[in-house]
Amino acid sequence: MSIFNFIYLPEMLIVVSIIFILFFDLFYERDNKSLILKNLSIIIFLISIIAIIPTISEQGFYIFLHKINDLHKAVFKFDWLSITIKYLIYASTIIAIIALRNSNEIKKEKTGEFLIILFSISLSMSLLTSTIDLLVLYVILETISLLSYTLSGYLKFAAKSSEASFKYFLYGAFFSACSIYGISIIYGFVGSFNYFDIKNFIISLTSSNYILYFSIFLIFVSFAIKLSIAPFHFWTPDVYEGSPISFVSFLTSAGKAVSFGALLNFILTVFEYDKFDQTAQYINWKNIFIVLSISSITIGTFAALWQKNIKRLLAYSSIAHVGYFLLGLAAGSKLGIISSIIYLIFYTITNGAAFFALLRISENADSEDLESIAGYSNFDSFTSTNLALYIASLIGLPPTLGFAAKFLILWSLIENDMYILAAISAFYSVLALFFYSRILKALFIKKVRNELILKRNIDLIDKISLILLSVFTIGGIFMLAYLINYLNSII
Amino acid sequence: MAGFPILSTIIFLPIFAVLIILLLPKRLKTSIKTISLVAFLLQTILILFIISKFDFNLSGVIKLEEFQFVEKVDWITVSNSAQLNLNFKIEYFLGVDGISIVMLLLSGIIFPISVAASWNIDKSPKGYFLMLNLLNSGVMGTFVALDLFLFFIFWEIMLLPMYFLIGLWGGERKEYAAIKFFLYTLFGGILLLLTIILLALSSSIIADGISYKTFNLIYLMDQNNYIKNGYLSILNSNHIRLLAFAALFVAFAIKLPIFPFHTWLPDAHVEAPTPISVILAGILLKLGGYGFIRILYPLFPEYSKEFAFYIAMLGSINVIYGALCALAQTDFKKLIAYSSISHMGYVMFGLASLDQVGVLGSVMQMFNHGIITSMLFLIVGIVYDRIHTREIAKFGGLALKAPIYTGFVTIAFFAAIGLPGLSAFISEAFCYLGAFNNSDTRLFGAISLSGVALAAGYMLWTLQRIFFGKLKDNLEDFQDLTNREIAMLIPLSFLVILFGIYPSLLIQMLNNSINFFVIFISN
Repeated sequence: MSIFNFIYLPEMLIVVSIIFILFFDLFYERDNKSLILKNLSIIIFLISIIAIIPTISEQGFYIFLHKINDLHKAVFKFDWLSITIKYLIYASTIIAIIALRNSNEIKKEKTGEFLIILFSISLSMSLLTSTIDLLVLYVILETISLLSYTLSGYLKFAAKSSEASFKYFLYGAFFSACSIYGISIIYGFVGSFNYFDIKNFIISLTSSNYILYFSIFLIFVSFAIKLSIAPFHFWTPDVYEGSPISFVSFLTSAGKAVSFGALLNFILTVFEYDKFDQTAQYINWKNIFIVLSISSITIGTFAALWQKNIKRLLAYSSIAHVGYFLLGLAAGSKLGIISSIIYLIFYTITNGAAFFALLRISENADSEDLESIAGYSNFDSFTSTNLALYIASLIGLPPTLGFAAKFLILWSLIENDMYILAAISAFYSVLALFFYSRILKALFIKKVRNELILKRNIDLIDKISLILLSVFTIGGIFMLAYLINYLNSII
Repeated sequence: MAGFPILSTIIFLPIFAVLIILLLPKRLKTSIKTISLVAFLLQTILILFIISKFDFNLSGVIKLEEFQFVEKVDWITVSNSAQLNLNFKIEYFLGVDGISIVMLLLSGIIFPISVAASWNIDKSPKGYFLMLNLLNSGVMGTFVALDLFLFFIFWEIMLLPMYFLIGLWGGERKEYAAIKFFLYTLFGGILLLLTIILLALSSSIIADGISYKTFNLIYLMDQNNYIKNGYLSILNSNHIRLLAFAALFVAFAIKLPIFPFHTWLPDAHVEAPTPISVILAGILLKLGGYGFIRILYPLFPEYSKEFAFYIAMLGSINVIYGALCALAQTDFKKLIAYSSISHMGYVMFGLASLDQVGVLGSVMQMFNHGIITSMLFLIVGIVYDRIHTREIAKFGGLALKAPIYTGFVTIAFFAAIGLPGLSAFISEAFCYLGAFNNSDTRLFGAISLSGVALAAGYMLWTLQRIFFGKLKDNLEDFQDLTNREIAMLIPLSFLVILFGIYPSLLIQMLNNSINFFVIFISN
């Protein structure tokens, strides 16, 4: 039992840099402070991504710093899932910081603070997926929530931002209460917070225990809220609309990825969902996922059809995308889980990229309304073209990774005889095309309404990152075989 | 030349052009246009080269070994997943047979002409030619892809460029037309995708001792490669196979377009700029017909025979309905668009007859109609460029002012009517002959005959209203054709006359493949 091992390498790196930034922010007083901080943060997270690699060989059960073999005492479980999600969290943090880098959304003197909070959220998130202890889960969820409330209200003097923060807080508080209630009921039954103890307890049940099911429902709801699965999505559009875009970019990508990872971890560990033995599960998760995915896709798509604000449009569309994550789980096969993860990878990166491009556009046009960005491509064809590519991927048009992910989900659904569900979800793509095309129409086709003077020209690093993201969007389909084979070997 | 990937070169030449154009600054308008023109002309040369080396004795269609210029590489292979119980193989598989070579030739003719027709585009030519090149790549890929997944990718690549080409460079109602086109074709695309997944999931081929699901179109045409209880296995007689047939039928019918899925076409045509209308009518509609021949019929031969009556009925509805609508139009371009719908009806009932002559006529009709309708749309474009209206009522007596123009128009109009000696005559006649040879389709062959009379009606009436009679005042300054316009129309007119006088050129290319196709479907 060694005191030090590599498992927390990326997290430690982030902790150290949080402290460093704190002091740097205090004592460094030159004009270029904010830019230095942003550039530094990008580098830190690039290193963190690399630092994940040595942790792969250290997988296993941990009680805080110590690696142990007794899984009933463990608090963290590092496995393929938590590592995959960690990559996604750091990648979307990088995208969010790059988006922030050349922008004036967060005031210069506030940058340090903003980054410290962002780092802390990222840090908490990277532990959320690996926890197998309900209490730790609750603490981490609360940390993320509290920090998120601050960041969504970060534009102090914007009424919408304060509204977003407050609504987010109210919803969060209510459902936090729900989940702690659920956790306490479970503790009353099981006498432990450990997932494996709960699993053993459920297996040993001889008859249905509805109070226990109710408490599991309450815990599930706290995941569903974070994932904004319909009908638990009501906070999403308002919070997205009011929050700073660089944070929304982070929240929609990393936030979704980590909540999905935590949900998956819960279901895989406690209910052994990957064995697909419906009788052994007591709760029919498959049917729950079918209902929730269809309701998310339907509500997200139809609500997005008439939005005038791009952020709200993307918010509703993200609800629809979450429905597709769940569809993969609903397929109830290993390929289904693989396709969900691939969809998650695609969605996290592409959605972050779309918000990145949107931040540049909305700052130059001084607005996030579809009408006021009319004809934007005439002024900045580069960003517009890249955004068009991301949108094509989000719609699911070939040859993008979005298409590949959707294709895999349809494949796994049809493979499991759920062709009606497959057909329904596929036809929602046509509606998705309809609302996404409104952004394309506004950017490219509409006549220029007001002459824009570009306040923030995109610079070289912006260009390189946008192009890299586009290459990922299109080139992703060539990685498809590799991704499937790789995920298949580690799951 | 064995081993040189000539088909890939054809597909990726425009992509290469795209990369060059992306790097060029916006102001170098002429270079952008020249690069596109050069890329497209190189394609044409390569296609002609393929034809010169092509062995027309080989039939292709369902025989893997008889396809020519084949390129076959494993692209996406998922394997060694015993517990996943799922291995699949997506191949980069290209090849041509008699049918696809004719379609390639058509694209090789139309695309350079469309560049010439777009020479005067002055609204952001960079974006325009980028989109045109992407579109070209998708079209060429679709005509040579023999793997369903690859086919689908090329099929869908065409959507986004086309949306922008109509939506950005189109007429007054361009936004409406562009999104309508996009939604209709994406709807069809999704039906196609679902069917492709069903097909692949019911298949099983053994390679290297492992059983794979395959997307290979040729393997899928052989029922031996299906799992016995697979969704679409012919032994497993359930409604899914019928549903899949219907889904694929609708997917291609939207593109062709068959009544009642045609409503996107008049809008898209009227709003699209001239060169895009030329491509749309000249090539994209043929993709629907090509899909019928390449995919739908060989995969579902039993339903193709069973429903011949209804398919022929839809075809003849197209002929009559399109012609009647054309008669009622006051807009010159809309008239041509409806005449397109009418003429694509021949393709449908010719194919439905499943008779050698009928199917031959059907494919020839696709080729000939591609050439003729391109000419017609160019003609509309020329007149619209000059006086910015398409109202037929505002024209009159143009023959006095523009004799050369009128000459070309006469050729195109008579070709569209199906005058003997011009190309459409032979293909329409073949379609009728084929329809009469099959007792199922005979009735609709007879009904559709009235389409010829109607075509003569609307074409001649239009000719009379626009070109004869007294010269209208607003046409006093009408200029005759410029050299560029003559250069576009001459090759098309030449081909119309060439294939009218000597149709064996086409028949030679198609004959073996079509014979084999018909024998395969009929048994």
